[in-house]
Parts: sequence; structure tokens; C-alpha cells
Amino acid sequence: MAQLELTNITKSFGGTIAVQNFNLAIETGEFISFLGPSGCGKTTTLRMVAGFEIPTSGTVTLDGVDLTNLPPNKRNMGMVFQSYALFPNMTAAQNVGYGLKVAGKPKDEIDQRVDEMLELIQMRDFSRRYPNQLSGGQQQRLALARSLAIRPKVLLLDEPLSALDAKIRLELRQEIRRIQRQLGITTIYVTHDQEEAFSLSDRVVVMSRGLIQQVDTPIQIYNHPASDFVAEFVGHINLLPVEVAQAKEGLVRLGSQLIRAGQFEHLNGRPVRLAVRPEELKSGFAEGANNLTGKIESVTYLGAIVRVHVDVDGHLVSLEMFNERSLNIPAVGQPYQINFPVEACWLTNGEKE
Amino acid sequence: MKKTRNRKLPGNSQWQWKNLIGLLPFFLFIAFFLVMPSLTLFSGAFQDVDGHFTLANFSFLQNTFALKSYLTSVWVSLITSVIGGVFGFFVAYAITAERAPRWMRNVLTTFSGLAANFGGVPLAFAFIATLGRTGFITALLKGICFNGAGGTTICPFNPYEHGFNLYSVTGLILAYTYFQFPLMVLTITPALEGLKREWSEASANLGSSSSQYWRYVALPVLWPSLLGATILLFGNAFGAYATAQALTGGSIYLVTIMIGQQIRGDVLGNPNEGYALAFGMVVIMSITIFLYVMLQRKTTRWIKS
Repeated sequence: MAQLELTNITKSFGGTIAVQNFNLAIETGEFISFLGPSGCGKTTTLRMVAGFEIPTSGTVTLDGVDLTNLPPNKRNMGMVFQSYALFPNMTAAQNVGYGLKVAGKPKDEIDQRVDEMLELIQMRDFSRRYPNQLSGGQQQRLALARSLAIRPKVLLLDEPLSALDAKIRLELRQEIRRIQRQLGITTIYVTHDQEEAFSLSDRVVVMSRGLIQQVDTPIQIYNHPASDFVAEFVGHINLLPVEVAQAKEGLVRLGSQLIRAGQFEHLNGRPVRLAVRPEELKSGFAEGANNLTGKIESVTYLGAIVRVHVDVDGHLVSLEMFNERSLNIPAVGQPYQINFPVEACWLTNGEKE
Repeated sequence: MKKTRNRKLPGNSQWQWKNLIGLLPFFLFIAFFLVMPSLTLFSGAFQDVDGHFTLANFSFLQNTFALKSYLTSVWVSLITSVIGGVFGFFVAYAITAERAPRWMRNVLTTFSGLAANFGGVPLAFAFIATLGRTGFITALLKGICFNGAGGTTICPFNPYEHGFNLYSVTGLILAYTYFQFPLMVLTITPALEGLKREWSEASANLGSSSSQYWRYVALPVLWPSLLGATILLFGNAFGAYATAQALTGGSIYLVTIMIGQQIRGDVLGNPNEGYALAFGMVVIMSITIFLYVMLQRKTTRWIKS
């Protein structure tokens, strides 16, 4: 049985529906991320799990116990906030020990647990410092330690890294995953950063406009997106308007050029789009693959990656190449040939079936 | 590199002078209306009427009448700052609460801005017109009568029959509270707004009750602000003159009223003794303002973190 279950959760504020028919079962020790753009309902869902919002309908159960109407202080869940929410009048050690203090634990137990937690986040030397004497990264690590000190059943993280700079974000991301694995704690992580969600999570819940779009492992979501929204939101993708040329042969036409796109009889008679990831496209001709010719529209350097836009009969096709020493970078306006495997593309009429 | 070398750094004297020009009107104002009067007051406190140095003006320290005026002033200021502070805090809390309607906040903030500056003769008159012996609220309360036993009429709500007197220290406290609590609302509202919602949520998430949150987080964070604002209220009442003079006609001896009598040049007036009394007030006010600034700094540092 799942440890945490969200069943038919709907939340509306006045006339606005923030979350709709949200169903999710989370196993013990699982790391789940809620991923989506701003306003998609991911934080609202997290707040309903924490007890800061009450669902308009639906239930939240933890280990079979219905928590739906239980106040936040009775739920035994640790939460880490985007803005850290450390108590400014308390030292690092006092912040970590706060949950145990209000629970009436003996001083020895609090001290021991605080030491243990500060050791876990490698901040023992900072125990007497106040939050405003710590860096953003240290504050967030402290917030994590504080939430874990009460030994919560579930750890909730609400965009915990978004206020930090890129390098610290990367370090903390790895630290969060290390600590989560070490403690084996069930974790829900809210983010709009797909890299964060993919690198941390066992499963990702992609949300849009209050609805779950897809729940799956990161690799499945990337390689087999359930909808155009997921395909476009996760990574980069070419979505090219094509015409069905020969349905039985699985051929479509992009401008004047034919592309083999596999089975698509079910899409007969509808306007369709061809989906293919930029990293699946290669330069040159390849036997047995889809080959297209066009001319270079633009070349953009992104550090390790070079993104090239090729104009194929009036349609811009994006491909990404590793910025290797041997890379022969094409010039803008130059004729260019590209190819991609038949199995790397799929057709969509909006929602993939 | 060249630009960096030529740039005027904050330590550069030319840079500093250019920026200080903008503050010139402020410095002039301070010089003419704070420093010079203070110097006159300080020097006057140590001079006799002929301008010779003396400590005789401080003989009031042996005068129980003058010392009592200090005590009354401190007492009235303390009581009104505590009552106004507590009441103002709850009003400010009500308008900054998450679910408080916006209109209520606007109305109360506007009222507070107005009432905090509504002092002196108009305030005294307003109180006399409402709670004076013939004030309309007094008349209203007086008019509530019942038939008692044996055909007698009982009017139990006349406040003046229950020991109330507007022209007493009690009346003064009531009038002062009228402008003290709105000042508290205006002063404490920013500090209450500085309490982050995440703090109460984090506290609840860690298992605390609402009272534990207030005890361990909110009040300690607010404490310097609360105390600082109360000190400000104390200073505000301590320096008030016109309201007390207009309301009680100088029958209650506050320090400010005594100074007024000494400086106005009554028959028994001695301006230099007035300066000495004012010097004592300046000392007390300086201490309160120093404490206020120190405590405000501490709060600001916490809220910024």
C-alpha cells in the first residue's frame, strides 16, 4: 500500500480552480517532484499535503490515516520553504531544535538531535550563528535540517533552491538527494526547473493548469511525453506541421520533403505535427534514416552545446550538437543536410494517444 | 581599468561634499531649531538672571513640588504609553491579519494618521464637549434613569457620581490615550507586516501551537519594536503640554506646565529655573530616544535576514 495517497483532490479559490482531480499514490522512501510552470497548482497541492490549504474535495491519507482536515501541526511532515523561513531570533542550533522544544522533548535529547542534524548538513561549526550571519545556501541547508529534526514521515520541499545561484543550486541538489537516500524519507519536491526534477526524482508529476499531465519516471517523460504540453515543457522539441502523404506507408510531407514517421492511420484526416528532439538530429546523410535538406538559418553557442536552426522549406528545424574540437560549425546561409532515425520521431494531433 | 582608477570612491572628500550639499537645508534647520535652542536652554539652565554661572536653578531637585511634577509626568506618560501601546498593538494586529479586509485597514490607518496628530486645544475641547460635566455623552448617560422604590428616580450612569472627573489625572490619561494608541498603530504596523507568513507556517509545520509560535517566535522578534514604540509613546506623552493645559487649566502639575509657568514670566516666573526643568526633561527624553533607536536597529536587522 502507498504511504501517501492523494485521492480526487480539487481545490478552488472563489471561482478559480487551482487543482483538479489530482490522484497520486506515493510509496515509502520515494522522491517525487511536482513540475510545471507558474500557476499550474503544484505549490497549492503541496500546501494541501502540508495542511496549509484544505482541499475543496478529495482526501489526503498518510499510512491509511485521513489527514484531510487535520491542522498542519498534527501531520508530522517537514517542510522546507523557498524563502527558508528560519526564525531570525534563534541561532542555527535553536532553529534546528525548535520542533523538539515545542514537542516538550528533554534538553539532552534536543541537544543530541541538533548535533546529529548539524552533522548531517555539515554545519556543526555554525551552530551559534544567527540566520542573517549565514549565506543563502547555508540557510537552506539549515532549513532542511530543521525540518528533518522532528523525524517527519514526509519531507516537503517548496522550490527550495530557486532563490540560490546556479552553482550553489547544483551542490545543494546533490546534498538533498544524498540526505534523502541516507534517511530513506518519502519526499515531495516542487519545482519549475525540469533539470532539478529529473536529476533528483524517482518519478515526476508534470502539471499544467491544475491538472496532472503525466506521472512517470524522468526518462519515460522525456522520451515518451504523454501530451504536446509535456513534450514542449520538458526539454526542447521540434513540433513541425506536416501533411499526411501516404498513410499506409507512414509517410508525411514537410514542405516538399518526405518523412517516414511510422504508424499514423489513426491520425488520418486530421492536421498533424511531427515531433522530434533536437539532439536526435544529425548533420549529413544517413542510410535508412529520414534525410532533409535546407539551409542554415542561425547558429547559437550554448557552451557545451551548439544549437543550429535549419530552414527546411520554410520550416525551422532545430538541432543540437556537442561543441567538440572536431565540430565543423556551419555558416549561416550554407546549404545543409540533416537526418534522424525513423523511431526518434512521432506524430501528434495535439494530445498523443 | 582607466575608468576604475578615475572613479570617485565613497572615501573621496570631493565626492562626499557634493552629496552633502543636498542635505544642507536639513542641517540648517537642525542648527537653527534644535541645536541653537538646546544650547540656549543648556546654558540658561546654568546661569542666573544676570548671566553668571550658577547651579541654583537646580534647587528644584530639593523642591518636592517640582519633583512631584516629574513623577506625575512620568506616571501619566507611562500609563498612557502602556494602555495606548497594548490597545494600539491589537488594532494593528487586527488590520495586518491575513484575513483582514482591505477597506478596514485603509479606514483605520487613515484614522490613526489623523488621531495621532489630533492633540492640544482641539483635543481638549473635543473631550470637554463629550465627557465634560455638560458634555453630550455625560448628558446622555445622566439621562438614563429608572424608577426606584418609593417613587424615587435613579440615574446610575452619571460618571461624575462615580468618581470620574475629566479635569483630573484620569481625564488626562483618557485624553492622552486618544492620540497615543493611533501612534502605536502607525509605529507597530510595519513591524507586524515584517512578520513573515512563512514563520508561522514553519512553526506550525514543526508541530507548534499558535501560542507557542507567539511565545517563541513572533513576540521575541517584535519585542524590540514593541518596546521601542512604547518608549516613543512615552516620549510623546512626556513632552505634551497644550492638551493638559487646555483640559485642566494648569491645575495638574506636569513638568511641561511648570516650565510654561516659569518661562511665561508670571510674577513668580524664573526663566532660568524653567531652563533647568527643561534640561531634566531633555535628559529623560534623550535616554528614551536613545533606547528607541537602539531597539529599532535590532529589529530591523532581524527582519532583514
